[in-house]
Amino acid sequence: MKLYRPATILVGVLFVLLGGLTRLATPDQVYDETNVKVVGGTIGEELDFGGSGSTFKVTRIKFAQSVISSRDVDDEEKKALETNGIYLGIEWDAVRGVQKPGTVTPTLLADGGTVYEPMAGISSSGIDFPDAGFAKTGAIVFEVNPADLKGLTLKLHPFMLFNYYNSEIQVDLGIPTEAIAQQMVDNAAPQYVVPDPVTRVAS
Amino acid sequence: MRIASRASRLTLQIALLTALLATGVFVMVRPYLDDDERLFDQGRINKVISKGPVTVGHVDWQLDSLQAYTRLVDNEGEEISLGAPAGSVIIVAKLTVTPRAGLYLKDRGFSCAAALRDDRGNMWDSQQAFGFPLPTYCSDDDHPFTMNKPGTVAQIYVVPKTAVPHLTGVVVGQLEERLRVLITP
Amino acid sequence: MESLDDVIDAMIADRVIHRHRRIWLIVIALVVVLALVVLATGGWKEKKGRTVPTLTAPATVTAGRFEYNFTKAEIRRKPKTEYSAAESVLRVYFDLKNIDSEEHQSNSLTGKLLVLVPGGGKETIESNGGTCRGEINWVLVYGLPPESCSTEFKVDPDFTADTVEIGVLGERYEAVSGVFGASDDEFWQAPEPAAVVRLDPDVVVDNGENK
Repeated sequence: MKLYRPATILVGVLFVLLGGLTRLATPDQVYDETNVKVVGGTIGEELDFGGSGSTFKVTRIKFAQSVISSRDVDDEEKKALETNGIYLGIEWDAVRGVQKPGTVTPTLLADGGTVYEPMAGISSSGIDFPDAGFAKTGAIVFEVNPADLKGLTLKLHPFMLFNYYNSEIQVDLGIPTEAIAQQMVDNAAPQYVVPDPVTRVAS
Repeated sequence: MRIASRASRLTLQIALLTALLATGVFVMVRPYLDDDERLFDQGRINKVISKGPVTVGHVDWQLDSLQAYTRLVDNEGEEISLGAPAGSVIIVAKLTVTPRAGLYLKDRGFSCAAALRDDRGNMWDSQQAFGFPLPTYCSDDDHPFTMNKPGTVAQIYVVPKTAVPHLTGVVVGQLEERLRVLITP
Repeated sequence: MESLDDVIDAMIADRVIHRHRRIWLIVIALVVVLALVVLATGGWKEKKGRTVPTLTAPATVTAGRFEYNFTKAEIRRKPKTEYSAAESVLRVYFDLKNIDSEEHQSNSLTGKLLVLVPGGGKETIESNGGTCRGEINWVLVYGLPPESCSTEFKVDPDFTADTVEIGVLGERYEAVSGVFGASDDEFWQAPEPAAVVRLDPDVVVDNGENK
């Protein structure tokens, strides 16, 4: 007499396999960051956006104790925003290629482990790409902690959604030591006027 | 409860086995499927037609003209500002659009959009142009649409001057049908 | 030849179920009746009431990624104008500090972490997030001192109260344990009530001045 029907055993094994497969084969394992190429550079360097023909460049950075949008400068009712830390304005230049680069989430990373997010309250602050054939300049502002600025890096992380033409761009902002960080904070301007973005035809 | 005959029990067993195997295989292969959807998202064009009419998403499209301008004026002859930078031109596509049976016509309007395309793969989305003599979208209260009745709509694009010799036509796509058609002038 | 499976099935069917048919039916009927009774009398779970501490302003609350120091509250009444009906908002003031020691990440206060508890079993009302330095959804930096902030709740135009209760929720830093197994990625999620703060609001008329 057989101990168990072979069918019972087979069904049991299949259930176990099914559970294991579902666990292993979830989509985020497949798309998990394997398509993202990290492209690193410094201020002034034009960085490639994953084969799409689009490029991104940080043109300059400015520390300041207060920020105001350029269109609010002459408005008596609007005052500059102050801080208990310090503001960092990052001016950029983006050239658009054929493929549309995915939306990017910009963050700042420091050696001390702090992750900075863009500040709220200035509508012209941000990073986005223009239409095909055009180039754009703009600025993005972060409020940062002067005690954690060493190794500050701007990271543009793409929002992945069936989009192969993406890189993660990391720009080293040139603050290699605490001493240099302190010097830049001490020399910070009293106010930074955030420029409006400007679009032009790409050369 | 005894299942009546050996035959029906066997069928049930085989059915259960097949179902389990199928689910297992599907779960394993699922992330690699959906090629069509991915290709569509990448901008693949699956049909090219000259002038039209062509039906996409229960709407008949026909490209009447594709013209370049340096500036656009409204009914009073005043220039319409489009924020076009120096070195760019304005392209106006005039289209005849007819809603067909199967289209959900809400408040006598629907969403219609055509993108401009060139031979290098560049795509431009149309822009609003307030005051332009023709409607630039299909849910304009002043120009309502009726089923099976053609209406004119203009799509306005701002492109670099250097792109003009490369322009091929307008592209109309429909997500559910995974259909993207290039209509050449 | 029958397999062991079939033999065991037959034995169980006969000895366990078939012989004690009547008892089985009675037991099942009893369970069903019991379930209906419990359902009718209000449920199985013990009604515990409020399980978080209730504090009175000024009070400091640490919840999830933020530390709050509640100071005062105002009912701001906007009088009826030519263009709009009368409105009222409840504004609560507090000092806010980012204490995300896990990820050291800048963040803004989402509206669902501060709720107005109307009492009487009614549903809580979410706030509109943290407004600091006059800007809504201000991004607070980890490592910087607390900012003076406020949040607002939409209330009825004739809302009055001697005391209001504000529920503070905090997120937990943990991994998801799903049906198909746990993942190891920890992140801030699943806000839970941390405390309730009582404040006595002043009534202020808002004539359209900004702050």
